[in-house]
Amino acid sequence: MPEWSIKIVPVDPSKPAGSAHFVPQNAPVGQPLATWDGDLVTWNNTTDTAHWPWPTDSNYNPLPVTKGSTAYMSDDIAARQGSRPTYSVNLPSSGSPTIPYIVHYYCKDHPHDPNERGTISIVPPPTS
Amino acid sequence: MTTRVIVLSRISIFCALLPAIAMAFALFSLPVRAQEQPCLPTQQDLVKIPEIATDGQGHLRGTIQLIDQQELVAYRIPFGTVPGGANTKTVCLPQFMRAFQIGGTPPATGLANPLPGPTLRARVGDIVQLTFLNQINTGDFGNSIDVDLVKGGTGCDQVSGVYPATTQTKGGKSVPVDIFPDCFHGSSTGNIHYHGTHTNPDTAGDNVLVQVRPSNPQQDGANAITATTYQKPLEEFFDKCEAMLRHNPLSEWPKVWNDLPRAYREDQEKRLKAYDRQADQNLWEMDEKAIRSGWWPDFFMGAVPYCFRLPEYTANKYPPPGGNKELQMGQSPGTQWYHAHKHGSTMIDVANGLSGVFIIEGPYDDKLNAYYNAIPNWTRTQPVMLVNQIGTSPNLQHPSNGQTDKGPNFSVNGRLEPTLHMYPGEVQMWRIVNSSPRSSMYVPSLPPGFKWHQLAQDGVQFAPDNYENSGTRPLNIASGNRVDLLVQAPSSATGQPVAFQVLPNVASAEVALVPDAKARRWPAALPPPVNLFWVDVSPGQGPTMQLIPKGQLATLPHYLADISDREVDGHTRTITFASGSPFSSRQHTINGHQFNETDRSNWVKVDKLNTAEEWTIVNETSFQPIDHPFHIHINPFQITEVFDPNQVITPSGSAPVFKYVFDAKVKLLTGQCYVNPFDKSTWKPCDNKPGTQRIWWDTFPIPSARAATGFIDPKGNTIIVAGHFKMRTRFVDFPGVFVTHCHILAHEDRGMMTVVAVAVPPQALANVHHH
Repeated sequence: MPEWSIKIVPVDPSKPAGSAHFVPQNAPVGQPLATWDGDLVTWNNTTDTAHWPWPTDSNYNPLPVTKGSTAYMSDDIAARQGSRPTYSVNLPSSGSPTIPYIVHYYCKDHPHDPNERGTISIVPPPTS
Repeated sequence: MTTRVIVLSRISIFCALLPAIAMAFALFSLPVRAQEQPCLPTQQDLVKIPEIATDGQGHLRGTIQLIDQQELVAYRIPFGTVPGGANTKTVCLPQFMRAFQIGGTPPATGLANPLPGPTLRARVGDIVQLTFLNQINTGDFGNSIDVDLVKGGTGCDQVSGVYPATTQTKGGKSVPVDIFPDCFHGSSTGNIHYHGTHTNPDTAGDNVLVQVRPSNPQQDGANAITATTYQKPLEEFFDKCEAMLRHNPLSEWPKVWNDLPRAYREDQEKRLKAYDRQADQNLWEMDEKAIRSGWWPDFFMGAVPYCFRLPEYTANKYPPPGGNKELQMGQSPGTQWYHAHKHGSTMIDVANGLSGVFIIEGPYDDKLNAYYNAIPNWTRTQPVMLVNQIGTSPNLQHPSNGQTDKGPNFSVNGRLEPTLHMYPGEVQMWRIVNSSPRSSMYVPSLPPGFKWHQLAQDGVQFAPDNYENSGTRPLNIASGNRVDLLVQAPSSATGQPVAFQVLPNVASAEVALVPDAKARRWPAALPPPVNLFWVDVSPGQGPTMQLIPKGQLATLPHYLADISDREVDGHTRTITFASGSPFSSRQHTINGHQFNETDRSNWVKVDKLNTAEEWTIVNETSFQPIDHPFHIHINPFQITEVFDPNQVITPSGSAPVFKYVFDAKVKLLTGQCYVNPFDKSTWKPCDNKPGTQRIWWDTFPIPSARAATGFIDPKGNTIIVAGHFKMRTRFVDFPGVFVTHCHILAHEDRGMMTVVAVAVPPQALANVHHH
């Protein structure tokens, strides 16, 4: 199964500890990271400050997830480090989710920074 | 007219807008297939792998750098299907992958394609002098450095809610299936195992206990370790190493930390201390403890030198006349290989592509060259084929709904189904390495019209008689095995390229189905054959060649004489491999233990150097057929007995039946034998003939066990009749610490490995680490 990386980069390269963007692998800022159900996702913090991806609702209000659950994205990521644990994207196991299903997240360390928001789109893996 | 112009204009506008429309469509479909890219077509020419070659003056010198980059990786869909299955398809995605490159190779521009590490080409007697650089950007893989040493860390890779999985004990307690150090972890730490070398297993030799943490410009900026950082001190080191090894093939120099150049040592100490502070680890503390004890340290930053000799046996008989002061065994010329060997991440690293071919030439090649060069216009074509199952991370790290549980499709030199070219009647020498971390390749036969003989197994040449008798035998090339084949194309062009097909498997019972397969829930149908590569035999490009007659081959070197009963002299051991059922705790064991650096009770200790032993290698795995490929470093071995309780025969006029019958009331058919489940002394082949001129191996699959249904032991359990083979090996020339393990590398990472310590004082063993 594929694995994907989301880079956390400074909005202003001259301020590596300032506000940051989430840059999905092979897509521009603002686009969702395109994944298949069951893919793995990590974040690569290239800034000089810590960031913490955290799942939210579509209005970027944090969801009540606990470490160890499948919805938990990562611990707080120190400067210039990768995320841990790895996040496994999953379609909801119940109901009939709209496809592509969109997971929203923000930086829990900087919840009011509108730059530090991102999305992941999930579709079932192809069968043919 | 006007209307037509307008219509045409509209068509023109539509055509002009087509790219934009296509892009809009692509964007619309972005979430569905945005990452998918066209795969490379199959049947492209076999890629020639770049080489680091001997200088012809006794040195193999160069730099191998471990990097990561985005590569186009092929996945088989639907996920969970078998290779070659009906209705499967290949899709390709850009993925961050680890790769070995020749030092100084510029970064790929754009998306790279998978490629094995550079082929190393040396000559017996050479001194290998390689600088290894680890330049992985850990950020690209999440926090994949070893975190076991961080206070409070579990040590294992973690995937939220998925890995490590937990299981329920009988008491209802939830425990992890994988427990550190026998779990997936540490995949950004690098090292190299030189698989098939007979050399120094310690210090700067084939030392898989070494762990090199990454240093790269993206994360460390100008402070990163690059090819130039230690260039001068390591050149001095290599010169000194040569001086120490050149005149004594038994030398294991360097011996201690202080044998490394001062500038290198001081910088490493400084960097390790800084790393420990930043990463909350204590690598330097552990190194210092080892150094004080006179042991080689395990932990390095960014770069490490490898310097060892490929010893040449020069005596004209065996044993050598000078006794133990002389080399007892030489490095066999042949097709060896190298790969990443960090416990906890060998599987993920090799699947990423961290493997390469290591060709060691010698008299074996000289005789072939002499024969084929003697006739004008005969070719000496030697395709080098490194097979791998390229993938990203182990299945266990993904939710169960997405497993590719039979492993990725085989690639050859990084490509799916490439094409070799031959002309009618041409003879080529194929060097095939199965570096797949999981699957064996069963080759029932070559395509019709092709003739072949096997020249060597696992980098050790065949005795001439074995070469001559090998022509019609099927091959099973397990993970880690190599075969050198001499192949002659048909006498006329094939018209279309023909497929060289193999059956992927992990056990003989997958390619020779057992009669009660359905009842046991074992495979009841053969795996679909898959096209490993294609051979295009095009008309008229050269004269018809001959397969070399056995009398023209290099004679078997004296040190490859069969290991006799007298040599073994009663030195025997039993080593038992076993796998529990899926998701059982501590699943993969050797002698009931998982690999653990602090539990030395399970290590194999050979007290004296230059002794021969006979080991019975047992496989108790029976819940599904898994012939664990047994591999041991440093010294090859000979097989003297194989007992496969699942062996199937087809007596005349009968359907396939088990060769071994457990029920004494059953009338035996021709070829069948009784085995008494209650009497282990009968668990052996009934027609074993060890023979002479035995083949040498360094990896051999242990036959799976078979449940003796209806036969119950005193504890009320069904008796499991284990499979086994017996092997003989010589622990000669090089004292030290190395490992033996299952070459299904996910099993090795998860515990199926143990240490072999040859003539090592007990106090030195206390400083061994590997995780």
